[in-house]
Amino acid sequence: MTELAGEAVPGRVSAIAARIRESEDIEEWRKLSVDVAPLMIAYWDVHPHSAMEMLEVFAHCLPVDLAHSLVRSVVLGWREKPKYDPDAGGTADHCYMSALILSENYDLAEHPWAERVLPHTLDKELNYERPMRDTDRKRALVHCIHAGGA
Amino acid sequence: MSSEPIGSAGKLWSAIVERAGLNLKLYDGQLLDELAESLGVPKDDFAGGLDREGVSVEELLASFLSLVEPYAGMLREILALFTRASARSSGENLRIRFDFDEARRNFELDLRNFRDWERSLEAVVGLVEVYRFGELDVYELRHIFVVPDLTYRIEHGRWVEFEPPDDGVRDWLAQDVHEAAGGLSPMPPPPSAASEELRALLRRVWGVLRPESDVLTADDVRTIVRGAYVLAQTDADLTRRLREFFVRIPLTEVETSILLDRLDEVLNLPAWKRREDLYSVWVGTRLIAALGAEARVHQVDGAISFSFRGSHLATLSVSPSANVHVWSELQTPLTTAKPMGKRKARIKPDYVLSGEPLMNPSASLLVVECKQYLQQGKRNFSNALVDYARGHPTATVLLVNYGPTTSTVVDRVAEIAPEVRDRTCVIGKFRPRHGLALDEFERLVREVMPSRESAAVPALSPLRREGEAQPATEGTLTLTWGASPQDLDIHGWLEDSKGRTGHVSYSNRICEIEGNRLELDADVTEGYGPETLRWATHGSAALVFAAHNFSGEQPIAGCGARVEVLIGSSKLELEAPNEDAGRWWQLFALDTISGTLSLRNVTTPSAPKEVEND
Repeated sequence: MTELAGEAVPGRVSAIAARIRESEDIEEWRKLSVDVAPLMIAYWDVHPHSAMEMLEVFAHCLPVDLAHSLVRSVVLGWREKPKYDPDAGGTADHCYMSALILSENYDLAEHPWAERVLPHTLDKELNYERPMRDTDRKRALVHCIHAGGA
Repeated sequence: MSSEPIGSAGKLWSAIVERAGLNLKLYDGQLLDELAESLGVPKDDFAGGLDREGVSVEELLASFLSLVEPYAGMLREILALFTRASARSSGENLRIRFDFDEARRNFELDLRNFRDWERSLEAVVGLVEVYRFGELDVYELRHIFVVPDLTYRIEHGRWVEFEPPDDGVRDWLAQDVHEAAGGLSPMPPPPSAASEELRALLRRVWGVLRPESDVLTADDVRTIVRGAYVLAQTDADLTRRLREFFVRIPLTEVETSILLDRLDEVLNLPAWKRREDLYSVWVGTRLIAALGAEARVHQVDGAISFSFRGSHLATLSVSPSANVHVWSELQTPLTTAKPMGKRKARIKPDYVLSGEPLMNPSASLLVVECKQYLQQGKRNFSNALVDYARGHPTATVLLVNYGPTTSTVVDRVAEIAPEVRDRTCVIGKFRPRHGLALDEFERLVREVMPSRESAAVPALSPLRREGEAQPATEGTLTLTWGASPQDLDIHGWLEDSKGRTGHVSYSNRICEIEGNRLELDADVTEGYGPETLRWATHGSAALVFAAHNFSGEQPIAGCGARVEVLIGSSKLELEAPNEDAGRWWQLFALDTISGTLSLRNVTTPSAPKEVEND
């Protein structure tokens, strides 16, 4: 845990995100996802707000199937934290929600937090295009939730 | 087995049955049930079914060996207990002795063989890496069974899962996943599918879902089972997604002949043939382990004994004057007019964790009964819980089962004996690598254990209150017993701060060294006692006390002999322990300056200190 604690975590997470963005090798993405999962879980203890932002970054730069595994693993790890609270990231709540939607992990969205955060998250996802891998599938996931009466 | 090529799973199964002498109607029936379930093949005409379903030799081997895996885990943990007990004994020859009633053959396992068997099992299990996924791989697999508008939809902002068409699967999914610690009842088989390739792929998925797998939560398993049943008939893309997934998961390429040789080796291990006993011993191992490293594992003549007649397995000192003991097969009266089960006047659960005095059912803290059923027997399990709870009126009564359990067992306890419901519980899927069940077990043991700070016998508390040591400069020890053995003797040893020593016994009744004095009042040789030893010290001295069975016509263990110790206003009472390890009953050691009393209360073949005059 010493290795994962403190200021080293944000830097290492950002470096891995950059490598995933630069690479086009799915096996490398898979390997880097495995490497970054424990770092992302530890990130919560450093700064939940930034951790949520980075979770969205990974949901963008990985295709849905890989993003699903990584986001699920990280979120379940966060939930084990004694002080876990979906509101702990403050205004980064929409990042957390976006990560759940785009990785097809919306079943992990906690209610009533989800009711509160979903409207402005959907507004962002429907109105502001951002570059991401596996875009069509992710757009379909956003529309599926939008159509589901959010 | 390896000399002849085996071309089909059906032939392999027939060979296994023949070579291992499997008795599928009795002892090995559960093995067949588990295999049939995991492979989705009907158990009637299992060999034929394997070939009809297109199960490969490798798949059958992998499934079979995954059933062996928990036993490798059990052996590993039993071996650790062995090693721990050996470290405190003279060497490598420690054995586990199983001493059954007349109906079953006794046998012994020795440490060296145990290590060999454990290695054999590990070697075999290690060959079946095919089912070992990383955590992210497993989530990726799970995700294959999550498809928008096919397995779920979003309704009013909430994630809603579709139910599969099969009634049995719906019932299985409807179980409360959080009930007890036992998890779900046996899984439905893989869904049928028109394509042979999809059937084979789904069997591989089911291999990951087996109870031995520890990478998926019960919720994940439900998602996959639900998704598989929904998608197998409707999603043409499922085969492709599964194919692509499994293509990158390396299938361990093991020469079938090597695997068969190893399998042959394992199936002929005594440990495999006695796996029912192994399970019960493993549960005992977990109980002792839950007490912590300070628990002392007892051995008699170089063996840890599991006897039908009752065995004292371990002791943990929780205070200077209080111990908890682990017993196997401890027999106590069942003081209820109408037992629920077949038990009669006495009950004998697999394990009892007891305080003192031993044999007093009211001192029992925890009763553990082991079952090795694939499917729970609601009536049988609840009857056992009720009888044991009534026979141990203050203990928590726990039933652990190899297979799953549900809350219906304790629900029935609540119906037939509501007064004991709060003291009864069940843990299903209690086996190695099942963290939830193992954690629950440890939690229960911790819960019933007396606090180590508050466990001191009040009468003795002045002897060892931290930071408040009181000199124990004067005291008496009185030994009383019954008609037999006729001649018991008190022995006392004294050592002063300069290392000068003395010994008092029937042959030397007074010992005095520089104002420190021990004196024995009598030598009773025809039963009953009493014999009283008094001491008075001036300055630092270490005293050690024991009783010796001089006449030896019956063991001192369990003879009912009692010792009463008075030190100032403190009083300690001991009763001869039931575990018979020799003619000496070691009582306690006392540091007169610090007032620290170190309780032994065990029988041993030799005296605690040199006996120079006897």
